[in-house]
Amino acid sequence: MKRTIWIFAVLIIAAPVLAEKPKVELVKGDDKVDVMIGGRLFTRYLFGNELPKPVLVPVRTPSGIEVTRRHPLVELEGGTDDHLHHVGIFFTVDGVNGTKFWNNVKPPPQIKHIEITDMAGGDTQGKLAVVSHWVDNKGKVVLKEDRTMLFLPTEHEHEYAIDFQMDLTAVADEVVFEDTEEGVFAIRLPDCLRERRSKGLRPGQPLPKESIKGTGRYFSSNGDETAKHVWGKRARWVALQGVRQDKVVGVAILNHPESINYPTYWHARNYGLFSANPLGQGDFQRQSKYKKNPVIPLRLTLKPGQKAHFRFLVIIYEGIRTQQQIEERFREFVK
Amino acid sequence: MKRNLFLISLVAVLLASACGCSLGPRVEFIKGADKIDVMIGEKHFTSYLYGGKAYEVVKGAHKNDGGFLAKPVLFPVHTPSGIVVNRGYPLVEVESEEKDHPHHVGVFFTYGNKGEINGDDFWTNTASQQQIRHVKVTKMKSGAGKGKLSTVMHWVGKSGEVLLEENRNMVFLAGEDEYAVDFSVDLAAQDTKVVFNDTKEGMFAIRVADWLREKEGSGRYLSSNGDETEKNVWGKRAQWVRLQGEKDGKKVGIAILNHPTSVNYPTYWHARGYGLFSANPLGQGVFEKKRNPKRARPFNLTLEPGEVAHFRFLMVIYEGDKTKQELEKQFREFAG
Repeated sequence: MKRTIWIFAVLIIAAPVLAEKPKVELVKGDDKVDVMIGGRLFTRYLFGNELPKPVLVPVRTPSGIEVTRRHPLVELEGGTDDHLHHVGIFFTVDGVNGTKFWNNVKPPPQIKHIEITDMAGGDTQGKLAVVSHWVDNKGKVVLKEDRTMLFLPTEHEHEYAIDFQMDLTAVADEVVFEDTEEGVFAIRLPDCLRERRSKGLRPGQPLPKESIKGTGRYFSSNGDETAKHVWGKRARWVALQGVRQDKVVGVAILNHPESINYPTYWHARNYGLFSANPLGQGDFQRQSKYKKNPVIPLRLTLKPGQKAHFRFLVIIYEGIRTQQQIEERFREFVK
Repeated sequence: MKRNLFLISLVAVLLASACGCSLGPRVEFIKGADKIDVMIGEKHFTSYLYGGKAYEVVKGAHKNDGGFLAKPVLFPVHTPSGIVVNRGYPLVEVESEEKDHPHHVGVFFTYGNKGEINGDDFWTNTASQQQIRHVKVTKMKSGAGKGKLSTVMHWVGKSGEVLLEENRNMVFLAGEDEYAVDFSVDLAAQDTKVVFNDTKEGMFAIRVADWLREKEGSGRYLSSNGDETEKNVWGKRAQWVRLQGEKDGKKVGIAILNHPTSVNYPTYWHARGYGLFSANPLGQGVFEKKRNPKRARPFNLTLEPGEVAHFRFLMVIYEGDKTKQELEKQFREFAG
């Protein structure tokens, strides 16, 4: 009997090692790459030619709870149907030499998928590297985007993460980014995770019931809480957590110090748009309640061949997190 | 009689709660020649020195190359129990103290090393050809728990032109184990457009006593980013930085907090192990170049005639241990 138990124990311990499939798998389909973790869909990279930009949708927690608004949008009773250009996780911005790449649901203009340059699964991470072209209304390529996404099941329990690194290179002409709040690296949350003024999730208080009106609540590395205080300021990271399917689920976006105009400003809205925007400086300063200083726009300008680098870690987690816990994850990320 | 006492104390308690503050020790100003002493509960906190010839007004000061003050300073700076946290040099002889950088005097606010402000510079020089000249005191108000001193200065270039007018408010705050200065400055360009080219040599700073610095001292920097030591704090943006050390078995520290209304907030930090502890929001391009050359972008603050840039810092001089959480809390109260 004892011996049988011992054999069982060996089998259980050895099982993950013996498993043939790697933990993270990338499966290419038509106009999409499925990212599987432990055999289950984590997220899907969509890049069909009908899309105005490539997106990641849906995005799921380790137990399969979606943290993105449904796509294609099927409106639920009491749910939202605004801003149809907010899809899953996306990277785009308005005002690139006058072209609005953000506020757009149909090409042109388009952030056009060109090729996959690297795609690899693995036991500790999956990697997807892609090239896209930012094509304006006249069909001209304004920017080349080189993007690497590392899918990290991570050694941390109850969370998955994606390390996003983007290089934007001016192609033929000088490129000027106008300062606008409409950008840059964002996730559109499901309605039940948007932020209502009251009845949101507060640490130390009883969990609110899931509601289509939202139980989410933002908090930032500045110690600010709620969209009202987080919006329009610089911060190293911002997180939002709320209740879905009787669990606390959350999304944290961490900005890497090598990223342009770090620490980024935040276009984090209570209706469900959660965006990091390092380029909107002048627009945020203009709308700030602090009016003491002249507004100083960034007006990021790239000469042909010049590059701007953006880097964000997105953590999709389950279970309530404190400010200190996210702070520790930030310190690991920037090490 | 007893009843009267009771009534009086009741009234006092009501008064104190009505203003929502504990009144704290009284902050008084004593005006002297070319200086204003700031007294807290009759103890000397600091002095605002604004005359050119500082050596004539500082007790025990000697005349040397740094004896001329090219900008107003706060000197010396005491903790509530009377420990001096600033370096004595160049105004006061302290045994075996380092004598580098004679332009680092007490607490100061200035900028520029190599002609960064329209060809002029105000940080390094100790001579009189360019200077931040005190013009007048506009307000001097004593009070319980706090006192306010407002002054006007002119940033005068080599040619004699007034480039900038500085309107400065210093609110001196008296706590139990700590003193603080809420330091806010408006710099206004006068008749000419003013460009501040990026340099690390700025801006709101204290030169600390040798025992408090990191190099061969007991001090250690900590920032709101959670970074520690000069190596990790220098050249980055942060909301606040603290330098804490030990003197006679007692923990003593200085924290500088940057207010969100301040230009190019959160500021970069020119915090050095040898004892210069400075917040510099305008050095962006130089700091980024050192940290990550690829993404260096100069700030080049430009003020058209009449335009104003606002700077605001809280400098806290404290005794005892101040944790990251406590500073976080203090920052939130300050930032409102």
